[in-house]
Amino acid sequence: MRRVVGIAAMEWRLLMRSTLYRTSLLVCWALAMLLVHGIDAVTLKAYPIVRLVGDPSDFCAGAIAVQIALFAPPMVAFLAACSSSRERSPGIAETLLSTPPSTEEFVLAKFAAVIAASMILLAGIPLAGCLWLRFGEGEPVRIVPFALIALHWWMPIGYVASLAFTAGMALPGSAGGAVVFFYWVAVVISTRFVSSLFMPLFGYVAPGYLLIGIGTVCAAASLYRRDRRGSSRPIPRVAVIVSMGLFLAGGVVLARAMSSFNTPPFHRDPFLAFGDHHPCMPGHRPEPCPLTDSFEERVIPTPSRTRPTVLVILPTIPPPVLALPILRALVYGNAHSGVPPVYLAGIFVTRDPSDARSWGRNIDSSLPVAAVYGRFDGDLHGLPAMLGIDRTLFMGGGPIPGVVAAFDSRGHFLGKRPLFEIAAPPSLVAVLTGANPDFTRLTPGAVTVDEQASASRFFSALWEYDHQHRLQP
Amino acid sequence: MLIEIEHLSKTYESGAVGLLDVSLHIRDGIFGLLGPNGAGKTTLMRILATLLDPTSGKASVDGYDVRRQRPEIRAILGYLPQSAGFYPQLTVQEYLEYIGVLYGMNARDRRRALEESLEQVNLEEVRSRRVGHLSGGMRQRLGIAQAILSRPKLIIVDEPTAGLDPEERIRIRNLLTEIAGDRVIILSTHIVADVAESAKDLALLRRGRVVFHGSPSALIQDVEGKVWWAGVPADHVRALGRKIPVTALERTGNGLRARVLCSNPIVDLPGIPCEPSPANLEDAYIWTMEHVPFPREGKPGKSSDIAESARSDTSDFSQFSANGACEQSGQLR
Repeated sequence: MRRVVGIAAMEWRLLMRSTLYRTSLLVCWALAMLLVHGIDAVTLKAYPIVRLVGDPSDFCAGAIAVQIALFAPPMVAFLAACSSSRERSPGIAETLLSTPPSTEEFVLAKFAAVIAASMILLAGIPLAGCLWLRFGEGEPVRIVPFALIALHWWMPIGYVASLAFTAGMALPGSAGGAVVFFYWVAVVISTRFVSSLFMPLFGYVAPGYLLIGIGTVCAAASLYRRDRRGSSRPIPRVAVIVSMGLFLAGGVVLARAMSSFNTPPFHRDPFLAFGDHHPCMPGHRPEPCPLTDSFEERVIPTPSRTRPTVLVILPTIPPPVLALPILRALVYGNAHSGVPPVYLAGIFVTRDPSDARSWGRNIDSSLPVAAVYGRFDGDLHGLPAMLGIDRTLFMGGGPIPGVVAAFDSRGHFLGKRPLFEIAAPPSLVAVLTGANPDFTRLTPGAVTVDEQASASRFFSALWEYDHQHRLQP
Repeated sequence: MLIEIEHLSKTYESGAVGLLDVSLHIRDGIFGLLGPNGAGKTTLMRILATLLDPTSGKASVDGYDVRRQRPEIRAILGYLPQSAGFYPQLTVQEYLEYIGVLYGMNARDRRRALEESLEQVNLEEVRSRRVGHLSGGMRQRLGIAQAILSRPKLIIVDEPTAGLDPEERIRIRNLLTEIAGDRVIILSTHIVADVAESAKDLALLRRGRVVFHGSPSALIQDVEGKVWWAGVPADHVRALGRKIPVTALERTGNGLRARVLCSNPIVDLPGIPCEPSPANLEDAYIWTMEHVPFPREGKPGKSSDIAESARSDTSDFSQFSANGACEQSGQLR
């Protein structure tokens, strides 16, 4: 073990000295700084990022920035490491292989080194945020969830990326680069297709990445075998695949554990901490509520024909945790921003591309809604109670324009707010459900086929409405 | 310390034969491996370094089997591959520390071994320099330093002097001789002089087979009496070279004199004035490579094969017969 740690330390040092890594580190952190600045500046109506990449109401601007910031750390560590591996001639590979450590020890050590390097890159995001907070005008609340999102996303991507890197690392010359290339192509594809195929079965994106990781490592192993023809030291395929499986299992266990404990990073929220049993929930709310002083003056909303009724669509990018402030603002109103309390009729959790047809397809595909709900319980546990809603529906969908819009029960537009004004990444929309009475009668986990069809029709209509009117205030 | 190699063969997946029925016994001191490109030197060394599995046969290092006891062998092995690669970002000291880590040395042992190695290869002054900034000779010395860091019983160095200037070559040769002591150093090289100066035992490989195994002096002895200086017209040198090995050329007042290898110049070089010359290892190497036939299937080459081969070598040299009989003891013009 001491030897593994020693090798990992040296590999880490090598990575840190890679010019590509250092440059990327600066770029990545600068990007993070810019992004965080952008997020905060939105509140200040400054929109620096948006000015750079597009219209503030266009979700793409923020989404692209988020994607870059979140994907960059593991990607950069990955590429830098592979770059450094290409510097290594077969001579050094032979030198290393002729020393006592086994190939498995090398693999393990390199894996640890890449994880450490990736984490350092990743740490730059909240660090940049902290710097902005210190020297700029940011707000802490914007930084913390963003950092959590970064970690959240990094977990499945990072470890599989690291494993694929490790496999690539073992390959001489261009073969390592080829593995890296294939991996990233596969990741790009998977973010759109593969993982969603597995979602109903396993949940979240890890299985998709696992699949890709296994494929990549197998490809790496076969390439390695071919490259080092005649060598008696091919990469131990079984060991790599097994270790990857163990990491996945660890990730799943961790995710389940976090879910069971209501996702510890979010425990500070008194509502979430108590979940459905929160003493301040309707029906058993003491006066005044000891845990929610900041909300005690607020009124838990109830369905009302006079109050705007909204359906919230939450993408999994960003994870729902980021939307909590938004949801709170919707449910309790936000005096600061002038948003009145609304009745939150439902929550859609989505992850497919931003087109209405895919929503319709998902809704019509008879997805077991209860199972889909279960898939997200790690993320959303306690959310319905927090919001005081009793009709919650979770299903597949996709990122949609970053606008929060509200309609009255007759379908009149009440107003919209670009998402940037409320929270960091876009992709949240709230739409009126009052236009479709059937939809408001949905109950948790008991969505009938007819109701789904009804929801589908409703949703298509809304989408069309949105496109026709572009939600002009 | 003894390395035993018995009927070792290696055939690659492509069908190429790396080694064929090689048997050797290697004891303490520098052991030279000579042979042309593709002779199997690197294959043999990689098998001994446990980087490659043999197809058949057995090999053991200090009693450890190369197939089954790799960790034990690696613990007593220092290896400098042919195209030694280094981490250019690391300093000399860091690189050696890394190697120490790989050998599981604790910090104190590592530091002590590092100091010794740096002193031995005379790199103390550049210990803080990045490897990427070292000259070729320094890198080779660093390679040797990493090979000796763990005080291994077996050191394998593959072409350590290739591409170096004479001064560096001599320095590395002397260094290997100095560190040999009671350990085995297997030195593979194209440069015959390196082996001649430092090895006490050597093997000549050709197309995967051993064609000679013995001391350099024995190899030279086999060629004694077959080295001649022959006076030839300048325009006949190429034709001569196609017929028999020419190992050197010297310009004389009226033409050229060629250092040739032949067992019987009267037959081989009719009409050419020839003067005998003492053999050196280079002559012996060339002669062996050119004249020794492959040993019978299943048996490695022996030095006696060389003489046998030489005796049977009566190649015709009629092109020069018109110039008169060879004057074996005569002076060259």
